[in-house]
Amino acid sequence: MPNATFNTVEGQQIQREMLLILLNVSTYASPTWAALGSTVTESSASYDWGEETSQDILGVTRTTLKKPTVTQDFDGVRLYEGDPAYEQIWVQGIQNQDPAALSNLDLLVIHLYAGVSATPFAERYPSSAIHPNSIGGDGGGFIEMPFSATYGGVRETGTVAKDPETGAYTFTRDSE
Amino acid sequence: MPDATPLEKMRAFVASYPDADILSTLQIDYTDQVPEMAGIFPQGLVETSRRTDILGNATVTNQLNFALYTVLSKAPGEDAGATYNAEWVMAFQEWVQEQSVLHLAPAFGDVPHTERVEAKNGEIYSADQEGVAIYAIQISVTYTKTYRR
Repeated sequence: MPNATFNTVEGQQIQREMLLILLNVSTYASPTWAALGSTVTESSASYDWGEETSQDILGVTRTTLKKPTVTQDFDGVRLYEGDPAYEQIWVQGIQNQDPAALSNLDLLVIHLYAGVSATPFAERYPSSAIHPNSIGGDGGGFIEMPFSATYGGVRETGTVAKDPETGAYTFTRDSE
Repeated sequence: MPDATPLEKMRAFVASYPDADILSTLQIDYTDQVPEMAGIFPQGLVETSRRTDILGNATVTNQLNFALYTVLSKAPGEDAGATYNAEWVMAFQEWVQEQSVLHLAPAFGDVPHTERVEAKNGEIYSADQEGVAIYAIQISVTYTKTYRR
């Protein structure tokens, strides 16, 4: 696929909500995407490139990188009825304590601010892992369930389209 | 039927105080200068915090302020009436606190169990030689509103 370009207003800094992470709460073949991050005020994906640097006896420095391992923490997750993504993580992590299910989750990252045309660029990680780190909270407050995600599986790139009526996203994989 | 406005909720809430008939005839932004009258004076809304999540949804904490002025009998230099009035003012503040803690106060926002209604700084505001005193109590409501994208 050709390199994408930013499709936002020139000179205007891009808003955080234009980078979305969605969890597939249905099947791989017929996905239903639910956004992650409601009630979370700060979350960033970390890229570990496996950097190794060495210097030979002549003083020449060489650095190698690997494909990155991408992880992301979601703190401040407050549970509420009506969020299918949080509900699925709660069921698999808290109710069922099912590591197999938690390590085979389907994540979609949508870059609404970038694309080859007006169509946003997206990347799908079909074998990702998410695990709750804790559940609890302050008295008189809310139940919080922070969790961590590791993006995994054979990465697919493509584009997404948003249904103007339902707001649902449809991912279209780039042709080989 | 539309929901009651915040002002209507506050008026109904104050009027439900069981220990005073005077609060059942509350007026807004006005009170007669005769005993056994009272008025609520709205003092505006202050946004105290705003949180935006990574999806663009906003959670706002507001504080809505009111002043309750009650006109009570108080002869100059007479202690019994002054004591009664002061105790009434203090009891009202404790009643508001109890209602808030027990979640019996009306809900003003989207997350009722986190709301707080406070009545504070109750004190005599003015007293004249005709046996009329005005007491002022500050009432504030802290509540949360959520706005989803």
